[in-house]
Amino acid sequence: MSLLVYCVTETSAVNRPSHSGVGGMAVESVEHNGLRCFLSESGSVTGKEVRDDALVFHRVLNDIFHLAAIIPFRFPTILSDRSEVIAHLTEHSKEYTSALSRLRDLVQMELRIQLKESAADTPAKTSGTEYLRNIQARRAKLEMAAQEFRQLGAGQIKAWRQRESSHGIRCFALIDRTAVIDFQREIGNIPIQSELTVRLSGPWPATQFLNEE
Amino acid sequence: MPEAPNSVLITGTDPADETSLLDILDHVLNAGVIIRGNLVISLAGVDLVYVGLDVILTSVETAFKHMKVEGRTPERIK
Repeated sequence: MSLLVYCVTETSAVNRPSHSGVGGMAVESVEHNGLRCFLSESGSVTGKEVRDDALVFHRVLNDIFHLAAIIPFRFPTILSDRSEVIAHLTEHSKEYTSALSRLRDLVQMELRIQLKESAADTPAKTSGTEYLRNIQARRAKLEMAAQEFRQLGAGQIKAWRQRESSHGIRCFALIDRTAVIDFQREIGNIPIQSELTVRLSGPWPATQFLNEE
Repeated sequence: MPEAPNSVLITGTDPADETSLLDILDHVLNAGVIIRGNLVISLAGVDLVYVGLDVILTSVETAFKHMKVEGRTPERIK
């Protein structure tokens, strides 16, 4: 029976998910080299109800992430058997151990900064130069907003990463697990320009910070 | 005259909240470790192989981007 893998934690982070896994399967774990990989039998991953299965997957991750740093697998990652899980843990033991130790008490918050439709729209008939200038101005506004949030949250932010998306900028702030409410309060109190929409979500596993820069 | 400032929308990770639901699906499908080449999803008893997975294992945004490149129209699936 193939196995759906959820995430990897340190062995010392002893916590079992309180919910059952995808398809009602029991969530079990495999330990190797100081790492624990959570998994369940994958017979029920059919692709028919990807959304529902993905939410169950998230619920299991959340149960574990609630108490410990995790390295999640993308849903659905399926390995053929336990020996393949162990082979994967062996191959990535060093990087996983290092990342979990570094991120042990940290979580990731995400800020999505976008320009509202009217501000993001470029006039239908523009020259190429004008079009590029509009794009440049749009990027500059988003970048400025991102830097403002970064500076104002600097007291809590341990690390910051950002990247452009098709709709704006996605910013990822690494903060202490215990600082989530304060961070939400702090960011929530920052007034933003009327042409922007800003959404803060989290806490998430620190997937954007698995590799050190 | 400049408009009044607005504020940041704060969402958690509770699937009951529609906004959070989109974030959750985005994170579950787009964030985390990928083990390429070992993924198999079955649909109607048929194993979908690697090519199909690239579309399934992605957010709507990314899927639509793929489809635009290929000149296809996105189809909404429940």
